[in-house]
Amino acid sequence: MSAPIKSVLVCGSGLAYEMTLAALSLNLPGDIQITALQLGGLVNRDSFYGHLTAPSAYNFFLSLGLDEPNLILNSQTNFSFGTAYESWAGHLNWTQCFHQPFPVWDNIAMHQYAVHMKAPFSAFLINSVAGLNGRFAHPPHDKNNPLSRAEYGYVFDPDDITALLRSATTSARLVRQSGVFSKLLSKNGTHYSLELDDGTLIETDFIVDCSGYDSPLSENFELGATRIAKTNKEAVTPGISLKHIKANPMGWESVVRLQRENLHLSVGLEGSISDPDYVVGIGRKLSPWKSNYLALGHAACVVEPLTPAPMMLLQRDIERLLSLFPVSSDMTVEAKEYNRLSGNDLEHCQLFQRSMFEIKNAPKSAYWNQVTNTPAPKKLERKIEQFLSRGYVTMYDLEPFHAEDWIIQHFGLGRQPERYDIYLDQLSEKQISQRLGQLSANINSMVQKMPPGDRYVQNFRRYLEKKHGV
Amino acid sequence: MASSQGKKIRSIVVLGGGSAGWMTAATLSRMLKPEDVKVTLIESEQIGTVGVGEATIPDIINFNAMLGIDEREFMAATNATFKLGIEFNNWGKRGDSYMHPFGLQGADMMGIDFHQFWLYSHQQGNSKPIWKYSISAEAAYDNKFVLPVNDNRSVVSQIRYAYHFDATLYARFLRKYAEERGVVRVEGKVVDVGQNDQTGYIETLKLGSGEEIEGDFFFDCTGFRAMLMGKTLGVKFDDWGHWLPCNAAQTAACKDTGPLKPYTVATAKDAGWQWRIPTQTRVGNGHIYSQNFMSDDEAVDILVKDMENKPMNDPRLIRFRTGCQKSFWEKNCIAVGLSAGFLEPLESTSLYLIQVGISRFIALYPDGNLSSVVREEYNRQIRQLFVQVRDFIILHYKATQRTDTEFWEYCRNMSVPDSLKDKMDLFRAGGRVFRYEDDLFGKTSWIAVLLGQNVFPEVVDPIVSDLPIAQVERSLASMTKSIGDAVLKMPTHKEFIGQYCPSPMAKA
Ligand SMILES: Cc1cc2nc3c(=O)[nH]c(=O)nc-3n(C[C@H](O)[C@H](O)[C@H](O)COP(=O)(O)OP(=O)(O)OC[C@H]3O[C@@H](n4cnc5c(N)ncnc54)[C@H](O)[C@@H]3O)c2cc1C
Repeated sequence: MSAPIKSVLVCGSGLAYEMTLAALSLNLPGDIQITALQLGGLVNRDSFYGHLTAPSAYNFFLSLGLDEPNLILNSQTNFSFGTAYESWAGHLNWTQCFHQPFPVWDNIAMHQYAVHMKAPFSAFLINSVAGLNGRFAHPPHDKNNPLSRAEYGYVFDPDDITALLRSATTSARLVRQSGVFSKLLSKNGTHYSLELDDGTLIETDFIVDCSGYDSPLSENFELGATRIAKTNKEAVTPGISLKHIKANPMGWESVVRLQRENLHLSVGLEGSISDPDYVVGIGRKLSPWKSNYLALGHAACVVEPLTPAPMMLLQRDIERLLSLFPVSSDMTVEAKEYNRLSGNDLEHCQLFQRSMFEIKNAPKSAYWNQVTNTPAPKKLERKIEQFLSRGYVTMYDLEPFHAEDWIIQHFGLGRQPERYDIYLDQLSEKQISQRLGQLSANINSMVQKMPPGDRYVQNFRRYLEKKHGV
Repeated sequence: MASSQGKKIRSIVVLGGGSAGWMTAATLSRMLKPEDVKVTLIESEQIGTVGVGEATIPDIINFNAMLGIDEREFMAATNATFKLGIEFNNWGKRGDSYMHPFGLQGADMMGIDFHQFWLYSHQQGNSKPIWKYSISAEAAYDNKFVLPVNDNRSVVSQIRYAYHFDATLYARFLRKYAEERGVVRVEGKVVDVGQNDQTGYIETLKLGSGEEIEGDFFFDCTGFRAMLMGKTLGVKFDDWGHWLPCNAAQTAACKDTGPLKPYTVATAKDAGWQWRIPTQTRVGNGHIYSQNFMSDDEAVDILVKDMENKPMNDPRLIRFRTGCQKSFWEKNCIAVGLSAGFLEPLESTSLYLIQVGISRFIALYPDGNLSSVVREEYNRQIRQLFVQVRDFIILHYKATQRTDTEFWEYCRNMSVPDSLKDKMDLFRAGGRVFRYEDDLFGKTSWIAVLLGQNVFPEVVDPIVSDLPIAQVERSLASMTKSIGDAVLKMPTHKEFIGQYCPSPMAKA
C-alpha cells in the first residue's frame, strides 16, 4: 500500500529554486512539510534563462505571489514587446513580438493578405512597430484599438527576482536550511533520501532538484554542445522596449533594458569570450522524474536563450509539477505523464529555436556550422514546407510557441509562401490592399500616441508608488 | 504579387450522395466559385445510402453556420430535435445509469477541477451524481430545453446542444443548398474508373450508361464500399475490430409515445448496445452488436423487445467493420465519410469526422500539382483525430465491470492502446485527466464516462480534502440550486420545438 506524501525537499539555489519553493508553498495542501535546502558551491547560471519571459509570465508570477506592481516597484523588471533580431545570419532583421491571434477578415487570416501583397509583415504588427520606435503602453481591452492585439512579457534580472521571491516566500511549513551535498541514498533502488557532507541525513517523500546544470545530485545529461556566457551591466539606454539580439560568427549577444540598467549577455562557442562567467552544456535529461526524484529547471534541461523558451519551459515545468504533484509514494503514473509532457514541450521549443537556423545563404561561421551539423527534425521540415507551400501553419500538441509566433518567425527569416489562400481570389486587389493599408495606418497613428518605454515605466512606477503609499 | 495557385484545380467530382457526399458538395459550393471550379456529384439510387446517422455532437452547429444555414429552417426540414447529451444504461454494471452531457459539469474552483470537489463530497456521503451539476443534463432529464444565452453570469449560458435528425432529409436539404450554388448532380452507377497510366491518378469515372465524368480531384463518399480509395487506389484498411468488437446493426423506427426527450439513450445489451434517438416524427432505434457473440435473429428480438412501440419498418441489418483507412488522401482522391473509416456510433462522431475531413481539405486547399506536403499534413491530422475518438469510444467498453456475458468479459479483459491505458491509469491514481490539445472530447467528457462507469481515483486532491466539508457542500448546493431554478423556468422540449422549428411532417 503506498503512503500519502507528507514531505518534500527542494534543493538547489537561484531562480528555479525560489520559484519552485514559492509555487509549492502557496499551492500544496497544508499538511505537507516543505524543506528548502540551499546548496553551497553551485555556479550561478541563471542568466541562461535569458532575461525575457513570455506574456504568460504575468499569471505565472501572480501564482507565485508576485503581482505586477510588486515586480515593477521592487525589482528592476521592465516590460518588453518581444525580441529584435539584428543581422541574424548576417542579413536578417526582424522583431519577434508577442502577439494575440491576428485579425481575420472575410474568414481569411491577415497574414494571407500579406502573402498576397508580398508586403513586409512587420508593418502590420503593432508591437513590432512600437518596439522598434522604443514605445510602450499596456494593451487596452478595447478591441477596436490596434494595441489591444499586442502582448508583452517582462525583461528581468534573475538575481533580482530570486531575491524578491525569497523575501516574499514565508510559510510556517517551509523550513529553510543550507548545506553541502554529499550523496543520494536509495532504499530498494527506488526511494531516495539525501545526505549532507556533515553526515546529516534528510529523509523525505519527494525530492525536487533545482541545483542547476551540473547538479551534484545526478549525473550530467546528454549533451548537444557547450557554450560559454558572460553578463555585464551598464548605464541604461533610453527608449528600448524590446530585447535585442545580435549574431556574431562565434555566437550572439543580447541586451535588455531594465529600469535602471542595461543587462548584457554574450553567448558563444568555447574560446569566443574572454573571462566568461561560466561554461554550460546544452542538453536534457531524458526522464527528469524518476522514482521520487524530479530534476527541474537547468537540472532537467538547458536551452540556449535565443528566445523566451528557457523561461517558458521553467514555468511550464513548475505548473506541471503542481498539477501532477504526487499523491502517494507510488508516483509512477505521475512521473510518466510529467516526462511525456515536459519532453513534448522541450521538443517543441527546440523546433522553434532550430527553425531560426534553417536559412538559405546561411553564414559559414563556426557557430552556425555547429548548430546545423545535424539535419533539421522531420516535424520542423513539415512546418517549413507547409508554410512555404501556402502560408499554412502546422501545429503540434500544446506547443509553447503559438501559431502567431511561428508566422512572425517564418516571415522574419525571409520565408515567403509560394501561394496565398485561394479564398483571397474572391476579393479584388483593391479590397486586399485597402485592408492592409488601413491596418498599417491605424498602427502608425496609434504608435505616434504611445510614450517612449522608459517614460512609460517611470510614470507607471510613480503611479504605483502613490497608490501603494511608498 | 504571389499567386493563390500554380496549376489550378478546375473540376472536382464527389462520388456518393449520402450525408458525406452532400456535406462535401455543400461545403465546396460555399467556398469555391462555380466559374472557377466545377463541382459534380454522382449518386446511384440503385445503391442507395446507409440512411442512418441521426445523432450529432455540438460541432455540427459550426458546420451549419459555416454554410450560412438558418437553424430553424434546417431543423424543420430535417424533423430535428435538440440533443443535450447521451444517457448510458447498464455500461459499468447492469442497473447503472449515467449521463454524458454536453457542456460543463460543475464549475472549477480555486483553480482545481470541479470533479475533485464532487469526489470529496461523494466520499463524505453526497449521493447526488456528478451530472446533477450540469445544466444540460438536468434540463435533459426534465425534458426541457432553451437555447443558451450569451451572458456568462447566467447558468443558461452553459447549455451546449446538438441535434437528432433524419439523416436522409439532411442529405436532401444539403442537396438543395448545393445545387442552388452550382453543384451538378448526376444520377448513375459508376462501373469503372479511368486512371493515368503513369501516375495512377484518377482521371474519369465511367457510369453504367457509358457516360464518362472527368475530374482533377475526387472525393470518395461511397460509404462502406470505399470504391475509389480501397478498390481503385488499393489503400489498406486499419482494422480496429479487436478494440471495437461490434460489427453489425439492426435498425428500425417506431412512434414516440413518451415526452419528447432532448437526449440520446444508449443501453448496453448482452453483446453490444441499443440506441434510442427521438426526432420530431419518430424514434430511431438501433441495436449494435457483435456477430461473434450473438446471432442476427437474437439481435432483432432484442431490438424489437426494447422498442416502446411496434417497428414502422422491418428491422434492417447493416454490417460494418471498425477502423480507418491507412491513408485518407491518396493521389488525387480523398475519402470522406464511411469510406474513410467507421468507429461505430456510440458517441455520434461520424458526421463530425466528415465535417473535419472536409474542413481540413478546405484549410489545406491544394493547387493542381497536389504536392505531397499538403497530402501528408492532411493525413496526419485526420489520423490523429480518428485515434483520439477511437480511444474515447473504447473507454466505454473497457471500463466495464460486467461479467454476465462472454462479450463483456472480452471487453473487460481486452488489451487497449497504450494511449488509452495511460489515460486510465492517470485518472485512477489521482483523478487527473490527460491533456491533448485537439482532443475532441475534453476533460468533462472523459470524467463523465470514467465516473459514470465507476472508475474512481484512489485519492481525492489533497487540497480539496483539506477543506471543511460544510464549505464544499455549500458551494455544490448553490450550483444545484441555480441550475434547478433555471431548469424550472424552461419550456418543455416539445413546447420549444413546437414554436421554434415545427416540422410540417410532424404536424401532418
Ligand atoms: C448503424 C449505424 C449508425 C450510425 N449512427 C450515426 C449517428 O448516430 N451519428 C452519426 O454522426 N453517424 C452515424 N452513423 C454514420 C453515418 O451514417 C455516416 O457517417 C453517414 O451517413 C455518411 O455516410 P456516407 O455518406 O459515407 O455513406 P452512404 O450513406 O452509404 O452513402 C454512399 C453513397 O455512395 C453512393 N455510391 C456508392 N457506390 C456507388 C457507385 N458505384 N456509383 C454511384 N454511387 C455510388 C451511394 O449511392 C450513396 O449515395 C451511423 C452508421 C451506422 C452504420
